[in-house]
Amino acid sequence: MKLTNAIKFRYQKLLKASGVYFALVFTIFLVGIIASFVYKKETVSNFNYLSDFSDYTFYTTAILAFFFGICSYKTELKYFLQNGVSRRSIHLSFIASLFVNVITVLVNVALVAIVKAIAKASDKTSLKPSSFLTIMLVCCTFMCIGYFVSAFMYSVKPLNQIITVGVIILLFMLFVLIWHVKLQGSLIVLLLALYSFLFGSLTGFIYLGHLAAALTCIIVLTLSLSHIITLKAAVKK
Amino acid sequence: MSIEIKRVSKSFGKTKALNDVLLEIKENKIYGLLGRNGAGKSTLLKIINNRIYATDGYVYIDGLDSVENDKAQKDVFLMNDENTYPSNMTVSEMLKWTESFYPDADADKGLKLAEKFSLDTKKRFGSLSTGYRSIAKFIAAIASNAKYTFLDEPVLGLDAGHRELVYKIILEEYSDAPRTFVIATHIIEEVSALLENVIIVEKGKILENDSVDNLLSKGYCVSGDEYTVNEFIKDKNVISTEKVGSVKVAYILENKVTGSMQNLDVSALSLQKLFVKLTEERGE
Repeated sequence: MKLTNAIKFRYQKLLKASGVYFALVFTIFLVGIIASFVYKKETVSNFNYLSDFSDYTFYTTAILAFFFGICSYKTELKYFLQNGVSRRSIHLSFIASLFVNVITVLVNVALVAIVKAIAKASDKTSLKPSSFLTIMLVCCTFMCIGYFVSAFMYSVKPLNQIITVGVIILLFMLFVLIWHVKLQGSLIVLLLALYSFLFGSLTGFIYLGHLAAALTCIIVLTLSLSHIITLKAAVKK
Repeated sequence: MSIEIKRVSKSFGKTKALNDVLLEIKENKIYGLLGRNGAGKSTLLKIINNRIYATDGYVYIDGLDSVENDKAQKDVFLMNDENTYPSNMTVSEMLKWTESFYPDADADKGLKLAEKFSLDTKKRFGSLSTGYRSIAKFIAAIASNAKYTFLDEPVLGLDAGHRELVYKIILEEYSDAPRTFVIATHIIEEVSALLENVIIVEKGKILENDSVDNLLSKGYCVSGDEYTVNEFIKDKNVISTEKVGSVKVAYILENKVTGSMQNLDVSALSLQKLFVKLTEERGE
C-alpha cells in the first residue's frame, strides 16, 4: 500500500510537469505554424524547418527526463519517510516512475508525427519503433543520472563530494589516457563487453544494439549506486 | 501489543545519544517523554519511526521489526520539527495523502480540525507561519489515526490559545478512540494533566519509566510559615524551596511522613519540580 501510493505520488508530480512541458512545446509549434502562414504566406510543404525542429524536441524531452531525476530525490525522500515508507520502497517507486518516459516519448512521437504530417516531411526516421526504443532508453538513462546526482549531492558531505568528484575526474582522465594509448577502440565496444558480462546469455537472445547496451549499463549502475545511497539516507534539517 | 525497544544504542560519531535503552510503549496510553536538551528524546523517536538507524539494538512494533518495514511503519506516525512536507503542497493535499499512506486515516477529521484552528486548507505548506506549520503537522498526526502517534514538541511556536486547543484535541481523541500518544515536550506543567505515564530520558538512558501517580508519590510539597517549614524540613531530602511573602513552600523528595505536619499545608509534588530534581541529581 505504501509503495503503491508512493508511485502514485511520483506520477502525479511527473505527469503534471510533463503536461506543462508539452503544452509549451505544442504552443511553440502552433505559434511557429501560425507565424509561417502570417509572415511567409507560403504553402504547407515549405514547413521543413518545422519538421527538422520537431526532431530536436527529443533532445529536450531527454533533458526534461534529467530534471525529473534531479527533482525526484530530496523532497520525495523526506515526504515518504514522514509517511512511513521504507527506503527500499522509496527506491522501487522511483524505478516504477521511470516508465513515465514511455508516456513522454509517446506524446513526443505523436507531436512529431503531426508536425511531419503537416509539413509533409519525407524524413521519418525519428518515428521508427527502433528510434522510439532508443529515445526512451536515453530518457530513462538521463532520469537515472539525474536521480543519482541528486542522491549524491543530498547524502554525501560537501568535503566528500569534492573528493569524490575529484577522484572521478582523475579516473576519467586515466581512462581516456589508457583508452587512447592502449585500447584505441570504441567506448561502445568496451561498454558492450561490460553489458555482455553483466547480462551474459541474454545478449544471445535479445539484440538491442550497442547504444542501447551501453545505456542499459549506465541505468543499472546509477540505480545501484542510488539504492546504496538511499539506504543510508536520513532527513536533514 | 506494544512497541518494544530492545537495548537500542545510537552514536553520532563519538557522541553516544542513546545508550542501551530498554523500553516498552504499551497501546492505548498517553506517555510523556521528558528530558533535558540533548537527552536523546528526539533520537529515540526517530529510530522508532525509521527516520534514522540505531547503532545497536532492535525496535519491534507489535512484534514486527520496525526497520525498513512498511507494514510495521503503518502503525506509527511522528510529528516533529523536521521539514518533511513539500512546500508547494496545500494543507488539504497533505491530509488527502496522509489518508492514502495510512489505512485508518481520516482526511475529513483533519479538515474539521483545521477549521477549529482557523487554518486555511488551501494554503501551501511553505507559505504557513512557524506556528501554523506545527498546527498543520499536528492535524496530520491526529488525522492519521496511527496506533502509536508520536508528537515531538507539538506546541512549538503556538500561542497559549492554540496550545490549549492541542491538549484538548489530544484528550478528545483519546476519549473517543483510544490510541497511544507519546508527547515529547519541555513544557511539562502544561502537559502534565494529560499524561498517564512518564518516561524520563537523561544522557541517553532511561531514568524513570512509571505512571505519573507513582512518580508523584515519591514526594510532596509543604507550605506554611517560614519557621515551621524550616523546622520540618531539617532532616528531609528537599528539592527546592520558595518564599512568597511570609509563606514558605518546600518540595520534598521522600515518602510522606504522617503526624508531624501540624500547621503545614501538604500537597502533591509537581511533575516539573520532580523532573528538574531527578535530572539534576543524576546529572552530577
